[in-house]
Amino acid sequence: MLGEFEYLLLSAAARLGDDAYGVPIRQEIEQATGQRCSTGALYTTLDRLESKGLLKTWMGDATPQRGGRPKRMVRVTAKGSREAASFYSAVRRVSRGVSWEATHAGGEL
Amino acid sequence: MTRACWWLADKLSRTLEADERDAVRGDFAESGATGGQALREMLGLAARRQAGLWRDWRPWLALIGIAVPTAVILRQFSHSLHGSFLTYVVIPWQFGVRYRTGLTLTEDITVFVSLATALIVCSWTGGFALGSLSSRTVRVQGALFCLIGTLPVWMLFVERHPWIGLLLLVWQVAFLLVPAVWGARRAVRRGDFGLSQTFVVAFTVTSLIALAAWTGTWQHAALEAWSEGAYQGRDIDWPRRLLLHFVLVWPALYLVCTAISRHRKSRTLSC
Repeated sequence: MLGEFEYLLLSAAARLGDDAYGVPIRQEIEQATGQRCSTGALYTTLDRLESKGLLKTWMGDATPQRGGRPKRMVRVTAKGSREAASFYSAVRRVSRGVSWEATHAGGEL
Repeated sequence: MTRACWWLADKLSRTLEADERDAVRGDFAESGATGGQALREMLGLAARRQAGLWRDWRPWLALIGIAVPTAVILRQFSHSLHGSFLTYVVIPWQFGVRYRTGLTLTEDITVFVSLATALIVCSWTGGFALGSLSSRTVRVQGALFCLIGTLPVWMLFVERHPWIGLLLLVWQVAFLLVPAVWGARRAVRRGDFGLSQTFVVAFTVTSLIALAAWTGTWQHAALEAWSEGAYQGRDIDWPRRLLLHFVLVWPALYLVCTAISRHRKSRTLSC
């Protein structure tokens, strides 16, 4: 079972497709959660997911806007997609009948 | 301030793998991070990476088996050497008389040189073994080694006799820290020695420690003879001292064991 941050990272990488690497993944997560995503959390989680075979990373091209340094490109594997889908289904199942939207708006269950 | 933060972030980034270092520094450039942000992010990443490395047994073995015991005994070596330096050099220079230790000048010089050589060689070997055993945690190990090896004795002097404390610090940097850092860098950058070179290092270290342990008893023996038994030295006899100093042989012993293991593996592969 994935952790929540692992799920966020896999989802962001899947959404970005061929443009998935450090900076945009981080921005996606920050925009989605409204919370800061640290470089340490991002890169250590990338390593963990890669060691589980849920994503694949490789060094991409260097660009001038990065000071001539390469990107660490990310691609979600088939196994990663299955794990993320499984996590999403579990979240949906466990949320069934729970009105979080009302709670978020200040209402009561 | 910003430049200092970037400088620190750059230094911290050297603890990372080369690819990751480039990727992270590229991310900072692309996102327009300030020096402060880069430093904070790099601190977080380096701390997480270090924490991950310490899940292995090797850094703990290096810390408990080499860094701490070696630093404690080398600290005593450097303290003794500093005392000898004060006796042989500072007192004659300040008061114009040679302090009588009960030994001849040749014996005095032998005691001093054997202690100084043992300190330098053991510090180098300790640093080398740390770098060899756990290269990616060697900075943390090295920092602890340096703190344990210098700080307690230095703090004894720094309040009452600042100039002696300063002299001791210079002494420890020259004879303990510089050789240890040099040894660790040698291990990290150029890898381990071959089997024969490792045996030479181990033999040299053992001989120098035995020599330092043996000559270290001369002064106490001379004082006891001079006082006709009135002086009761607190010092231990040289075989027990040798046993204590054998802790300093551990790093060399570790190097020998790993060299033999590598040699056997390479022979098995070639067969």
